[in-house]
Amino acid sequence: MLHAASASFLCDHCLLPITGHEIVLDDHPAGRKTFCCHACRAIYRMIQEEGLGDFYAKRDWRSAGIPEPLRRPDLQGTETLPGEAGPFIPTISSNGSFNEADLMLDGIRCASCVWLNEKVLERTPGVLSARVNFATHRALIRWDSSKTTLGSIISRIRSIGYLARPYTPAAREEALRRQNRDLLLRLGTAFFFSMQLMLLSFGLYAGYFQAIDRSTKQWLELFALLVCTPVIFYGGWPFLRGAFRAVLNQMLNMDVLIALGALSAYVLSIYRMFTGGEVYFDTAAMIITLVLLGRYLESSAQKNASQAVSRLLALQPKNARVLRGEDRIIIDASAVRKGDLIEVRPGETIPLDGTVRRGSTEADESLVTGETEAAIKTAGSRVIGGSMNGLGTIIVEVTHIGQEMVIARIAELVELAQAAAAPIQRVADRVSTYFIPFVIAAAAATYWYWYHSFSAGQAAIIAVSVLVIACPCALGLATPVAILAGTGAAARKGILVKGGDILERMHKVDAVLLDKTGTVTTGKMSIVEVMAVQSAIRDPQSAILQYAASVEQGSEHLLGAAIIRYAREQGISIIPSVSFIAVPGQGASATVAGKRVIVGKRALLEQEGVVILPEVSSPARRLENDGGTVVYVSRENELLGIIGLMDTPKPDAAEAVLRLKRTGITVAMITGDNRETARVIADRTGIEEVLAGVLPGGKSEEVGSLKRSGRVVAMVGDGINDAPALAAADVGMAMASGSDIAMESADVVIMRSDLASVADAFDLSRRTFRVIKQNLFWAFFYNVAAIPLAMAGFLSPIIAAAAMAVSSITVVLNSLRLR
Amino acid sequence: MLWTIIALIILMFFVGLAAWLIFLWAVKTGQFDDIERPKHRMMDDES
Repeated sequence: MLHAASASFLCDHCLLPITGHEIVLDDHPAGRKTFCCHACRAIYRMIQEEGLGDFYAKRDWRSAGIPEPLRRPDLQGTETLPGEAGPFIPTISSNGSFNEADLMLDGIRCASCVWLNEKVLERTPGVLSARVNFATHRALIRWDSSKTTLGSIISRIRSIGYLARPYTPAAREEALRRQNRDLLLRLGTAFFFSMQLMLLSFGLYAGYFQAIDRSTKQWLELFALLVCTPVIFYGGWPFLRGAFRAVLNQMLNMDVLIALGALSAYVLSIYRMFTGGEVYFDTAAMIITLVLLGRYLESSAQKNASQAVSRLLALQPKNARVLRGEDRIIIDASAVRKGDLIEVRPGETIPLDGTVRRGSTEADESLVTGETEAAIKTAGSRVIGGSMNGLGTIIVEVTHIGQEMVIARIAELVELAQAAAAPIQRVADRVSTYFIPFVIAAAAATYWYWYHSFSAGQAAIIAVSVLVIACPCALGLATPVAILAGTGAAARKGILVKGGDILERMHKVDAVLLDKTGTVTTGKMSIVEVMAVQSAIRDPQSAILQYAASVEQGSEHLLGAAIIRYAREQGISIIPSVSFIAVPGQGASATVAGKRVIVGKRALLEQEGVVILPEVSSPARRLENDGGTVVYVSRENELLGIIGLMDTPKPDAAEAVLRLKRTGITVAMITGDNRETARVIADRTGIEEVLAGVLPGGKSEEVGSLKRSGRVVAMVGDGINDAPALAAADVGMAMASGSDIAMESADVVIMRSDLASVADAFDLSRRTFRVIKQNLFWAFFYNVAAIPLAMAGFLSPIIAAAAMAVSSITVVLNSLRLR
Repeated sequence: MLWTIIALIILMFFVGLAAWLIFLWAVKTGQFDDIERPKHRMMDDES
């Protein structure tokens, strides 16, 4: 339907050809416009109403978004693309009915580019789906290979002005690396010349205190000018350019403040060289060098995270040993399908995510969870691709491959976090917006005052010296150093924050909703009590456990698994059982050592004619009131005793709740269980508010009503049913042990799945923000304190240098406290 | 006296310049591209 042959009109917004019956008309003052869809018309109207009609006159989608250097020779193959050729082959994966390719789109600038690409591709015949990620510029395209080719999809993308390249982590890293190298060159150059400059400046300082003869001073100043110039105009070029752009757009930001300070110091110094007086070359150069250092720290933090991603992905072994009948064949890990059985031998790295089917082992999952203790894996346990197998051989059924694997998703989260890290930087920009008018006003007032006492020239010099001292050099360091220290500390604690703005929202949170199962509690049943009926058998408690475990070994029930685990922990041997019968929802029976044993609910045993002795009734009722589950065990229709099981709170839950409460956060528990059960857990962990009996879909409504009452809400959960609530909350925090959907909906992922990490995360966000604010204060403090001196005409290079050095050192040391 | 100082300053400038040129060479040849990996390389198996 989009073939040019059948189209007589082009859409005025998206320039796609329109077929007759799809046309949407709109009468506009500028004439009748034609659109391919109502969305385009709506956007066209919106753009016109915003007074941005020029967009249509200025745009040139043939050239938009592709700077000329990107048309590199090695990409020429993609320009013609006869079918599926060139560098794209490795990124195509065929998945039966459709093909899939991961592309990187050059030229994505805004959300509307994403929208445009997705829409255009989805309308292309043969394309099944297209998803473009704004942050990573990554497009995942699925198409029907019988209807279209990748070549025509790429030319389609090119026709709207974007360049598609195969997406690889390497391509992204290459872009980051180039940017980092440029910054390093500027920083290094600024450092070397600033060093030379400082040596000369110390000579001048000495001269200031001890007197210096005029010709020596002039020589020193000349050399100072020589080494200062490259710092300002090469090192400082990004800021000068940024400031120029900002002023053109009638905006004030940090770049403007830096350019103002550095340039006024530079110009004033050149003027003073000829007329006599002190020079401020060192101030000008130091401002630039320190801000560059801040940018470099930021960028290398990004690069480190990006390398961490590559390293994470590199952990996945290239090959897997697949079971084909009785044979074991080694094939490429990417060729393994879901449901395949793979064998992992001792000491090998587990290649893919899956469930253990046979064997048991210990796996080292420290890389994913940060947990140093090895996790015990038996039949039914989930294993994570990239983790290290211990001393057992296991057969694993593969459940997740490729992009669905845990490590691939973590890598994606890290990438997103990097791309979204910017908002905190705006704090410095925002402060600058208020500070610049203040500085200019102070300079103007100074000029006006001195104009009446001195000549206009003298007054101008004093006014400029106000501008020189007002620029805080530590401003560029204030946020990056604090964020670097803060995110580093978070990562070490196993807390993954998806973006910088989330850190900002987190410190405003005043209510935390904790999901009960899996968040406050372990989510697993564990045995809290074994009570034997007074009878003749020896060692009654272990006998009960032994019988129960022996029966349950045939069952797959959750309670059964808990009983077996507990019996093993107690060192009780499990006897083989025969003629196992499970009664769903009731229990099970089997013959153990020649005797018929029934394990299950009271009703099942009564049905079988077992007499429930009154002595177990009251403990059973107590356990049930506490939210526990009671399992009755009988042998040969004689009651042996009961086993009480309960979902217990995590060991650190009470302490974590207390920590949260101490910081003034209201802690509430949300659960679908009845009030009594929930109350027991809440009391044991010190949670005051309980939202019990909430239906699965009701959690997000509870979050919504809390938000409406003016609270800033964080939701902590791990289940699929928590996902909407996680997304609805101001900050959603998911446990990494939980469902994938929960992790995707959350802003923060807690790798260690304990509540202490939740408390740590809030603590850290609060401290990081406090440090940023303190840093900004100290960055400005010394300079602002020196402004009156400059206004009075007493500013000397020594004071300027001292203000710079002291404020920078204060900022760096203050940030290091976060470690 | 003044000319001695100037000569020394110029000398110093060229020493610094040499260091800067070495730095430029290092960056251009990628010596700083990965400062994390090489220190772990000796732990790797050569397989």
